[in-house]
Amino acid sequence: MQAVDISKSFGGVQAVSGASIDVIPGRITALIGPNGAGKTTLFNILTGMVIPEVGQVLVEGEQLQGKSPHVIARAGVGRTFQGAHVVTRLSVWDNVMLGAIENPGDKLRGFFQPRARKHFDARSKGRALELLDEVGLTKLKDEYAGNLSGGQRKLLDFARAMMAKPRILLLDEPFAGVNPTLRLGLTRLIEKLQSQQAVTFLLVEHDLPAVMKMSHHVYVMAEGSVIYSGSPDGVLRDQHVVDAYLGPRSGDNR
Amino acid sequence: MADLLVPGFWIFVLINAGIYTIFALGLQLQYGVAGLMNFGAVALMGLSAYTMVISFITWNVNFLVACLLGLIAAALGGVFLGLMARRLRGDYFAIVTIAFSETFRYVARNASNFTGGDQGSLAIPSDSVTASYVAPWNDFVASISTQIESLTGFTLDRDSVMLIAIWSVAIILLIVIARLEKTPWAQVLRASREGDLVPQSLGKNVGLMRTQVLVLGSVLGGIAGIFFALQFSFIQPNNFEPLATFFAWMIILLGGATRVVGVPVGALIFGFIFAGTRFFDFPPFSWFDSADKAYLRLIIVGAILIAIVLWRPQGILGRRKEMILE
Repeated sequence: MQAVDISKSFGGVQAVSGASIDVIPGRITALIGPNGAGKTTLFNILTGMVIPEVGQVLVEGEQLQGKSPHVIARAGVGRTFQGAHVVTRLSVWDNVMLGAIENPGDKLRGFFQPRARKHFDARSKGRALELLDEVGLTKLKDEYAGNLSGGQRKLLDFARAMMAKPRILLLDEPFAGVNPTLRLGLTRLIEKLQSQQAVTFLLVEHDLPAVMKMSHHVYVMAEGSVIYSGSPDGVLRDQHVVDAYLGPRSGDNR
Repeated sequence: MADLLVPGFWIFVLINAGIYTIFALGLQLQYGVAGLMNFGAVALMGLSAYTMVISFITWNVNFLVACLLGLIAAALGGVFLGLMARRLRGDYFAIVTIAFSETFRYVARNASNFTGGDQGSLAIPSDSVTASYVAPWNDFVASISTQIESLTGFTLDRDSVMLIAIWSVAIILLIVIARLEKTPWAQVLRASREGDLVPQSLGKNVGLMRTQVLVLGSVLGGIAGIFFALQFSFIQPNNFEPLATFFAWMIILLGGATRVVGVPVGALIFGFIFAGTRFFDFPPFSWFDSADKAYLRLIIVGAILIAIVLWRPQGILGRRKEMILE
């Protein structure tokens, strides 16, 4: 997945200006940057929820900018949300099952194809159980998602996004509000999915140690532009990055 | 109270409840599943009834085809609401639906050459002196009645046959919609009550589904509209006041908006209150004369609505958490 020269402004605020990123297939790519750097806006552009003024979004060479979010999702691009948007008035189980993609029952005409629905359901259920088990929510499966804690909602959001079998999964702050034990579990799960199922990950995250440890490539954004692209090790040595986070050193005119 | 023991009264209550069951079922699908606040549902009922009546009387269309045209008109009304729903949510959508419903009624009142205006279907231009559309239906009912008589020996009057016809259709529709509400399609719509982002990010075409649910709900309203027109043999614009929509809202809120079974339960209670109040002759009802009692029932319906919303938002049979969780 590539984003080429993306620009988007809201009113007078330039949220993203000329940003390009290249998500390497089968790897974990991190996108970091100070608050207001345009990371989430870029995420929303990549998933079709915001339409860029300029630029292209390519998935395996296919242009996807301007397409509806559901079309992009069907092209294999999944995402989670910063605020962990679970459907509060559905159970945990129903939330996960909602993720099953290309479900014949999603269509109104699927009503007349009970066999296809049953068949699909049987296959999806196993996968849903597995995913719930992976994120440790099996015991809560019949609970309304609205009764979950913030961290549990994050995990549910993740499991639901995985249910759609994305080739590329965009994670918006997956570790925020998740306790250290669960965080470790989630890190392992992401690494496992990457190494065993070759899922491509792009994640926005403020927890730098976690990012450094798990990602293969890091982009740093500040004020709408990409200011660093390279290995995790080089991030903290890069003067632009340090400036963006801490402000330019006094007396430094760059 | 003696009047309450007359079978005719109960048949009337049940016929009304049956028509309202079908009507409110459309609303239950739209609100209880998809969270759409349609306050103009009665317009679809009217659109279908008027289309059926006008195409039969004015255009001399075959009766069954006229009924079909009525349902198509309601479906198109649903498509229009679907277009509105693409842009508007919640309260804003609700306001537009009321405007839609009232626009329909005002057109029906004022396009006299076409609709008969305030005099209703009797004044629709026609070859005969008074326009009527119920002859084919009455013939059908009579033939059913004869068949039942030859089979069982019982003689059924028109209202009894009507009762059986309406409730047969209502029960079939209840079963079909209950099944539909168990599909993943309905589940996506339930998710969409809390916003489009999640279902869209999972590859669901929420906009299309919302239009589909509005069309289905509208067609249900349309079926109710045709039964209404056939039962009362006469329609006029004021049959389709917003009040009727709110009766349907009371029914689904009373029965429990999240469940299909709540609809007939709510409709039966409503039908009894609506038709029964004028026969109640115990206090406080005995303090009023019969003309006042007609208004009294509106007060009762209003009071029930307020009480449900305050103390039992899930209704009699609904799932409380599904109504109140954030």
